[in-house]
Amino acid sequence: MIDEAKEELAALYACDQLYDEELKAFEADLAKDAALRRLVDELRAATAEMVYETKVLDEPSPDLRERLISSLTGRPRRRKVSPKKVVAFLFQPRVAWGVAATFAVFVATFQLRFQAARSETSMVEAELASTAGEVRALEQQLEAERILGAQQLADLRRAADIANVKIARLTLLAGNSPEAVALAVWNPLNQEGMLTVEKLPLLQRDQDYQLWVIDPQYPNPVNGGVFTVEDDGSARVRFRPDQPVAAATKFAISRERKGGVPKAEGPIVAAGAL
Amino acid sequence: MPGFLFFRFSFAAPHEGGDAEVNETPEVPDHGKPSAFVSLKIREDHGELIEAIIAGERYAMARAYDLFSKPLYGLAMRLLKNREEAEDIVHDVFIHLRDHAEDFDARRGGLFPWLLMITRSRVVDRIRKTRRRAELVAEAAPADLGWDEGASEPPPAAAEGAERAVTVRQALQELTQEDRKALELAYFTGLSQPEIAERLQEPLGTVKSRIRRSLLKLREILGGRL
Repeated sequence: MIDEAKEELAALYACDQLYDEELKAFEADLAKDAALRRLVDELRAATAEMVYETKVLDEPSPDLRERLISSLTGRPRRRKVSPKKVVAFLFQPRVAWGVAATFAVFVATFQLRFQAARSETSMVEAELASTAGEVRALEQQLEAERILGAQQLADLRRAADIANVKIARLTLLAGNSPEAVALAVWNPLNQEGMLTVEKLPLLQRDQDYQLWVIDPQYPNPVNGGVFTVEDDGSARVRFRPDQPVAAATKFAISRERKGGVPKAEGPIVAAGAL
Repeated sequence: MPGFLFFRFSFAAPHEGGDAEVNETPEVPDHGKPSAFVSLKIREDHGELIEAIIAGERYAMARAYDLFSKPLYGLAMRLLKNREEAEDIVHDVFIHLRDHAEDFDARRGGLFPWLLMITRSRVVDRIRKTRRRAELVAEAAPADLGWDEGASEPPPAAAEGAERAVTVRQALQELTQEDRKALELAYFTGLSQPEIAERLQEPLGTVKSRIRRSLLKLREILGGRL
C-alpha cells in the first residue's frame, strides 16, 4: 500500500520535480519498494502518452537524421552486459567471473584489515613507504595467488583462465566513503573483466559511474562502460572496453552524466594500478 | 502485443550495408497531425527494434528516429526554446540509444517513455546549467499543447492512433483546469515546484497535490483505456 505522501513524491519524481536530498531519499525508497517502482513506471507511461499527443510546433531539421544515421557503422556492436543483466548472469552456471570477484573482494577486505594492523607500527609504515611499488606488486601477486588457490573450483579455472587474470584494487579518492571497496579483475587474453564495488556513494538519478581503462597506447582512457550501484552502494559488472587494450596499466572510475561520455568529464572517484 | 505484427512487417528483409536501407523509411507517424497513421503502442517495449539496434542495424536506428524524434524534439524545443539546443539534445539521446540500447529494461516500461525520460533529464540538466535559466523561467508558459483539438471527435474506424489521441485528450480534459495547469507547468516548463506555486499564486502543498492528482488520474484513465 502506497500512502499519499509517497504517491505525491512519485508524481513529482515522474515530472523531474525532486531535487537534492528529497531526490536521494526517494530514490533510496524506490530501490527498496517494487510497488513504488511500478507506480513510477505507470506515471511515466502516462506522461509519455501525454507528450506523444502534444502538438509539435516545429520539427528537427532533416540533416539531423542524416547525421545520426551516417554516424552508424553498420557493424554489429559488441554487446555489453548491463548491471541488471549481470544480476541474471551471476545466477547462471557460468559464474566464474562472479566467483573470482567475490574472492577478490574477500581477499581485499582481509588485506585492508591486515594493512590497518600493520600500519600501527611506524617501522612497517616506513618499510611500506620506501618500497611502495614493490609492496603493491606483491599484494596483487598475493591476491592472484589466493584466487589461484580458490581455483579448486574447476569451472573457474576453465572459464576464467585465471593464470592470466590481473587484479587492480582501486583506491577511493572521494574520501567520504572510507569503507568503499572497488576491485577490477582483468583478463587481457579475452579482453574482459569483472568490476566489483561495495559501499560506493549513491548516484543522482541523472548520473552513472563510468569505468576507464588506461592503456598507454591511447591518448585518452578507454571506455569500459557505465554502471550504477545498488542501494547499498554495491555493483558487480562484467565489462569489455570499447577498444582493444594491449597493456592495461590502471583502472579508474569517474562519475558522469547518465549514459556515460566518450571522454571522462566528471570527477574521478576511484583509481588503481595493476 | 498488438504492435508485434506491425514491426515484424516493417523489419522484413533488411538490407546489409549501404545507404539504401537508410532511405527506405517505413511508414512513419506524421506527428504534426497525430492520429492518422500511428501504429504503435506508446508503452510497447519494441523488443525487436532494440535487438536490431544492438546488432548495429542502421535501418533500426532510422526506424527509431522516425518513430520518436518528433515528440522528443517537440518536448526539448518547448522547454529550451532554441532549435539548435533542442537538436543537440535529440542527437545525444539517439547516440545514447545507439550506444546503450542494452541498458533499456523493458520491465520498467516502453521504449518511448525511456527515451522521454532521458530527453527530459538532459533538458532539465541543461536548463539548470544554462545562463539563460532566468530568461527561460521568466517566459515559462507552455504554448498551445494541442490537447483541446479533436477531443470529442469520434475516432475514424480502424485508426488506432486516432483513437488513442482522442482518448488521451479526453483524459486531459477530465482534469480540472487548475490541476491541468499545474501539470503543464511542471512538465512543459523548467519551473521548479516553488516557482510553479509562485506562478499560480497557490501554496506549495496545493501545487504538489495538484500534480499528484493529475498524474494519478491520467494513469487511471489511460491505464484502463489504452
